[in-house]
Amino acid sequence: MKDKREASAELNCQRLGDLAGLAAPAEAPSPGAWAEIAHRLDQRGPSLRRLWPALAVASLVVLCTAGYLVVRRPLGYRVVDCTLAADGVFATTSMREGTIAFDDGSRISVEQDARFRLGMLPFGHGSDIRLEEGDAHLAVVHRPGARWSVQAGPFHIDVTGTRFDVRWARQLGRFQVTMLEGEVLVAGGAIPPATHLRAGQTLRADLRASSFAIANAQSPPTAATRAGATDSAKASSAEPAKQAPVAPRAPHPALPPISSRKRTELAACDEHPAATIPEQVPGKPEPPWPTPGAPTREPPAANSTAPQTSTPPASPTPPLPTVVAKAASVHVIFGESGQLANGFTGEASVESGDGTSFSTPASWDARAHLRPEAGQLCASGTVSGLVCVNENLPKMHCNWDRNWGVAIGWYARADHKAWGDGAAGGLAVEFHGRSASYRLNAHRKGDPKEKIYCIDNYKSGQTVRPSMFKSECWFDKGDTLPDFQQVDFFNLQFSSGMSYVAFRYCVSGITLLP
Amino acid sequence: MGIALSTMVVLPPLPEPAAPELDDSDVGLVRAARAGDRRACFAIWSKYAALVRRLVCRFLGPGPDYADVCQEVFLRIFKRLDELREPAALRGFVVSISLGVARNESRRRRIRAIVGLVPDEIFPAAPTPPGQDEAREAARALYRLLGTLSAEDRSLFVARFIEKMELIEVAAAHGMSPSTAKRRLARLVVRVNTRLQSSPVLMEYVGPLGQGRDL
Repeated sequence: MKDKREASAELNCQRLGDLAGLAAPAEAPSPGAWAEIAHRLDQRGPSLRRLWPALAVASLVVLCTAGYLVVRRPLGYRVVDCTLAADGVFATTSMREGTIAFDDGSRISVEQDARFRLGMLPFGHGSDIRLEEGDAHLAVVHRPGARWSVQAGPFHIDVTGTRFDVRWARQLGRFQVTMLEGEVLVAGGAIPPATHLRAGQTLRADLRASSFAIANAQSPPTAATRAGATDSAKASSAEPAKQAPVAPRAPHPALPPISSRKRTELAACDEHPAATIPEQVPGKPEPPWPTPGAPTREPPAANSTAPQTSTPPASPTPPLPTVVAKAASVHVIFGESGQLANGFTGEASVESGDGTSFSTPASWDARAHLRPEAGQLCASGTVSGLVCVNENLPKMHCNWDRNWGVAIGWYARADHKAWGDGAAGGLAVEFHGRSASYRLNAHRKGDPKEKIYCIDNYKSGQTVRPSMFKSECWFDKGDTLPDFQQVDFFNLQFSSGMSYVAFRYCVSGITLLP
Repeated sequence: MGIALSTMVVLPPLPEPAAPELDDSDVGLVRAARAGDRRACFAIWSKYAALVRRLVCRFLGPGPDYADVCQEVFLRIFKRLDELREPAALRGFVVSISLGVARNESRRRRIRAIVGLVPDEIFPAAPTPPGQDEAREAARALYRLLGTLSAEDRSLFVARFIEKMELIEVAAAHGMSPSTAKRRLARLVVRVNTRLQSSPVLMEYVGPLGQGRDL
């Protein structure tokens, strides 16, 4: 029955097909039809099928170009309360501050009567701010790959993620950076390249005097102190003729002119105004705190041998540098060649146990004379795990003496002698790197090489005194280091562990304390 | 030099090389057309123009001159001739492209009808034999019914029941396996017969199930 119905339905369709064939009979094609087809065949260009490779390449190029342009877009920003001159200089009025708000959350507040330019970096990487005149407060959000910089006259600041104030008085040639958070690299004028500034520090530079000073604040400046500083600066700018050689608490202490040779100045805290290290007079002993790049020298016998200055006799002589140095913390400078200055004069190096292999510094020579990378002493590589016997037993023994890890170290003096009378009372080493237990070691001149005094689990920036160093720090016992005067070598050790580990760490700063 | 000029004779122009004789088989025509021989293209058109026109007319129903659609069919044939793996299968290739172009035209018409650019049906004076008004009315009803089918079903109906193609040809023309074509046709037959019930004209034409009368 079902088959019959299906056959019948099929038959119906066939009948309908016959009907359609009858209703729409075929006709002979018109002779003119071919002429039209031939004409269109002649007109037809290359088919898309043949062109597709070229089209694909063209599309790819267009897409890549468009993508590149999109990605290359600089960071967006919004400028409030600033006027834009035809030469591209933004300016604030004397009535109110201006603000630049960037898309990534970074923000620049510009004080009244300031002038600046904005150079936007491609790929949204950041901005190059050229401060023509005035004060600015920067709060830069840290982003990987971002590059922010501030150019003020000849001075240059490289920023990562931080908050700081910058001031540039173009006519007076005075430049000041006050750090609130993070750190920046400053260069230009008398400032050595890649000079680190950290939170709480204030750098003041005088272009005319070819000098600069770094002051440490006991605590981060408050908004009130910043405002006060601004006012003082304006007052100072208004009366350039009244520059005092040393003006306590003045934001821009006028510094007496010294020789044209670039000199680094050591500065006291805000409570101790910056003072100039006088030019060395032949035959006179050098101050105990070395200037950058200074060769090895012996410390003076006593403070009474204060050097003469080369400043004009009429000018008041600044406080004795030794006193100033002892009274303030000092930041050790990492010279380009790996030679330290400003407190230490020895060279930096990297040492390692047997189980360490290095990525950087790659060569033995580069490890023996460790040069700073972007102002930091760095090392990276791998440390193999300790090999132990009698594990978990009282007589457990590991090959610690041979595979002890890696250490970034430095001699106190260039001649590898003990630090001597110029030794500081305390020190703080700033470093960053893989999370691990680091150890700060000190070695006394004359002791066997394997005898060290150490502080286990040392934290970056931790201020330590000699009494905190123990000869068996891992057990928190042993002899105590009496002072730093007999110490000839320090290092920061990344210790080996029970398993293979990759390391990378950098010593970013050493601060010496009185 | 003067001597040479005086002795120079004017030679008659060289006769043009005789064009090779055209192989009028499908294989020969396809090969020649692929080589760019315009005579082969003309020969293909001459050979299949009637078929193409018939397929297009029967697919789209009685209506205006479908010269533009037929033209499009041949342009597409010549454009895609390189895709023809078996030159001997030229006829199936032509049928496949004709039905494909007709399907596209059908869809285009439907969209135009939806957006109101053209009336849903274009049925000018149907070219039915004189004195067969009843058949003409039935043909109108048939194309109304076919208009309710999808373009794919309509194409299957044309190939199988109007052009009387074998199952394997239908499958080849629609790029499907014979078993798939068979299944689709079976469903199509049911669908057409179901819709047939709602058309008294067609019911009268085909008569009770399986008892359709002859024209």
